[in-house]
Amino acid sequence: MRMFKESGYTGAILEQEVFNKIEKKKYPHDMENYVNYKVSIKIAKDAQPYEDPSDPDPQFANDLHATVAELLKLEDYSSLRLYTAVGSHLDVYHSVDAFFELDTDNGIITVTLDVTKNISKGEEHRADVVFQMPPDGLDPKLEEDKEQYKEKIDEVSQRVLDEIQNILNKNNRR
Amino acid sequence: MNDISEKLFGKTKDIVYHAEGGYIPDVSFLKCSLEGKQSVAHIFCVGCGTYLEANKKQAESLAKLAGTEVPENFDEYYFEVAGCEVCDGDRDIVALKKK
Repeated sequence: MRMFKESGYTGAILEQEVFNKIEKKKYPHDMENYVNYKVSIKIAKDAQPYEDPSDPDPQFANDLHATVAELLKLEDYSSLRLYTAVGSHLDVYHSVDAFFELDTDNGIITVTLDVTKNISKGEEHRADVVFQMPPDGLDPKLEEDKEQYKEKIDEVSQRVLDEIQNILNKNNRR
Repeated sequence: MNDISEKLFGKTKDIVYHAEGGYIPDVSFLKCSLEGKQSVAHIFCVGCGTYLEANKKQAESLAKLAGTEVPENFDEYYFEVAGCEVCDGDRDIVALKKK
């Protein structure tokens, strides 16, 4: 897969990329304004807790990233990035826990993820891939969790790959 | 699921942009449909250049800070603020502007 430069944001948001960051001041919750999807993605990317989104620190994120990269047969893993959105505007307003970005010939593809305890009909899910995890999680270091952990990584990776292929197919039809 | 989500993906850092000031809005953005279900008005932050949306209660509060009445509808109006949700500018400096 060929590498492409990251596409920029339109309007004044682009200018934020040169800004310095300082500690956040707290405001009353009900005075927090809605932040749209595109801006929320930008802020989440700026607020990453780990340095390299193509090599995320948490084990699950790292294993998921590596498995999706393998499924995509990527030579350069940096063309696939996994960002956390937990605690960000993207999480609060758009129900997204994490998102992948993939560089493609036609620009960047974004696939969003949301973790849930159960996928019920009434519940609103806005992420591209919504998946279940046991409330206590799965620890690959524990013998009793090892197999289920691997299955979960494989399941979510395949669904991310399917979503990427759907987007690529849609883009090709345009 | 935030505990488990945090364990799986990590938690974003609390950041805020410096409100450098002097940003000018792209009116076409302000004329776009509002994205939030509860949103009634567009907001533009001249401090950091971010577009946000206000719900009814927030719009009333912003109108009060701007020293004006709340417009009957916001088709032709938006709020300009010196600081916002995502930056360190002064959120009490507000103006109601025509698009």
